[in-house]
Amino acid sequence: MHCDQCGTVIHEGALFCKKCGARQGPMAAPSVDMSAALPVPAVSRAEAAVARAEAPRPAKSGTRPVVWAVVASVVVSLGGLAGYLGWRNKVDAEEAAQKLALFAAESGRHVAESERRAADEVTAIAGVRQAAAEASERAEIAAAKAALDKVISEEEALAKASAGAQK
Amino acid sequence: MRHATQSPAQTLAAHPPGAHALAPATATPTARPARPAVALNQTTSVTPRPERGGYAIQHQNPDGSRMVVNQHRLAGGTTHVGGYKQVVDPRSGTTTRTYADGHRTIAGPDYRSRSIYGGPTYTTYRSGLHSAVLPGGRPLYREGYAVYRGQRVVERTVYARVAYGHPVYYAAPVVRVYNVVPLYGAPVYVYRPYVYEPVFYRIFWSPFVTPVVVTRDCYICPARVVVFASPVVSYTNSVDLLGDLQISSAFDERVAVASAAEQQADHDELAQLRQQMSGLQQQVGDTVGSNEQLKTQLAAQGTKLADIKAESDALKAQQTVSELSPVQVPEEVRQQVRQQMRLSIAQHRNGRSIAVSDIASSGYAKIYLFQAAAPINVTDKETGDECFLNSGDLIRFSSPPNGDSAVAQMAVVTSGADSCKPRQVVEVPMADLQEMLNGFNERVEGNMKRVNSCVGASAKCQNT
Repeated sequence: MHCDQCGTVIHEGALFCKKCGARQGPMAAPSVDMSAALPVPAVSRAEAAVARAEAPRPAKSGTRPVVWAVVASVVVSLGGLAGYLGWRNKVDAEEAAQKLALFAAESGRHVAESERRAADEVTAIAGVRQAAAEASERAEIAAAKAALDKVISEEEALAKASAGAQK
Repeated sequence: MRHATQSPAQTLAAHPPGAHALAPATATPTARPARPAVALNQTTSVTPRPERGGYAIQHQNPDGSRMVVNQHRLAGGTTHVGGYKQVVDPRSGTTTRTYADGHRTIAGPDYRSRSIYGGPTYTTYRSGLHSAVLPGGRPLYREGYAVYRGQRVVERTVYARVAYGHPVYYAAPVVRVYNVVPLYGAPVYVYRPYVYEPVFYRIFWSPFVTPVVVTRDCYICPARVVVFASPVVSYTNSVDLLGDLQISSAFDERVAVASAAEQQADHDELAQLRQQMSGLQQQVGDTVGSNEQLKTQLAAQGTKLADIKAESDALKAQQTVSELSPVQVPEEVRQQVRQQMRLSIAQHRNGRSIAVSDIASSGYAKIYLFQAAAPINVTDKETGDECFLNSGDLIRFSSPPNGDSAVAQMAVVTSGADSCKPRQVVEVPMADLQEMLNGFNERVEGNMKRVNSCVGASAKCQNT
């Protein structure tokens, strides 16, 4: 005999195709369906309807289900929010700590760099000032020496002139 | 130390104070915050001075005298230990301080005197007049008022000069005249030079005909109390010779002129004083070491026990001014003195009296060197500490003098080992600057005479 699904030659009386696995015979499904392959409980529709009728029904409470649903949704929402916020806060603190650490390190580097630059600038300014002061000092001393030379020349000229006049 | 036979009081009687009162002989130190003293016992206390790496010990002796020991670190890292013993005589109203380095000061009601170990005692009276006596009591000079051509002047009668550690007496006393000139509201005495005949100055404006060779016996050559950066073998002109002579002859005056016996007495007194001070340091060190509370108190103020104990022997080995090694004179200082020498010779020839205000207001005030002619005690501008300028020490203006101030700020340029240190800025009364200026011009005159009498007759000067 051949498989109803794929036509492969299979043994006589085989329930399934050895190639495609399709069930053979009158209950064979047109497609591969595992649920169809499983055994189905033998419960009729009538029996199911009787069972539903005999099952206990929940008591009627007016608007309660709605209230409970709202409360539940609010609680769930609040819980979620709280959790979210908690999680968020935790994440923020860690991030903040990390960011702060990074910021501190970066600031430290900036401060150190600024201090170094400031120190360099101060040193440079001090150096410039010192150089300017030294230059000013040299100029003042040169001027003082020139003034002294001038006075010496004047006094010597006067002395020699008066000495010549007295000869 | 021996005192003069003529006491300052006697000299004062001979020269009563006039109406002109000069500025105090020492500068008034600028007020500085005092650090509290830590009392060790009823008679001894220690004042920490961490800013100077040191401390001061004050001790009251049983006889009523007071001892002060100062210790601080110098710029080079070495430790300086100094101090004095102070005796107050209520009957005479005098306060006498004997310093461990050989200086002595006496402050009386109308005078102040200063001296160095084995040297003359120089006194300044409230009137502004001066006197100086040798260790044996013989006068070196004294001053009095006189009237010259209708003008009130001061006359100084000079009996001797100091050369190579000995007093050389003149055959006849030399009289020097000083004009009384107001300076910043107080009178000062300005030297009036004695103008010689023109021929006297001729050798100072032309090279020597024969160079003056520097030998050990050269009478007009610089004394070996100074060392120049570039020593000379011979001098070919008078300005170079006079310049070097000017520097050395002033330093030469700080050499002890006392006799061996007088020096021995001074030496014994100083040795005893240093021993007492050193013992006081040791005692303080031991007391602090065994007293935790005192140690903590001193440590809180920056003084360590090691600082106190470390240098207790330094005083014992301290030299006096007159025992010190030669003074190193930089070449630039030497050249500046030579320039000033040229100026002084010409001004002397022109009969100019030079007042300190003339220098202060001139264009060359910044470089002009003042040379101490006698020991004076001055105060450090920064610390307020007392130090001495001795004969020969060279100073210049640190900043232009204030027109209203009787005190100038001066930077030490060259000094002996027990004087204020080079680059130290000290406060010096203008009246003392005038004394230095007078001393410089008088020294120029004296050295010109020495050189004039020898050049051309060198055989006479050698071996003198």
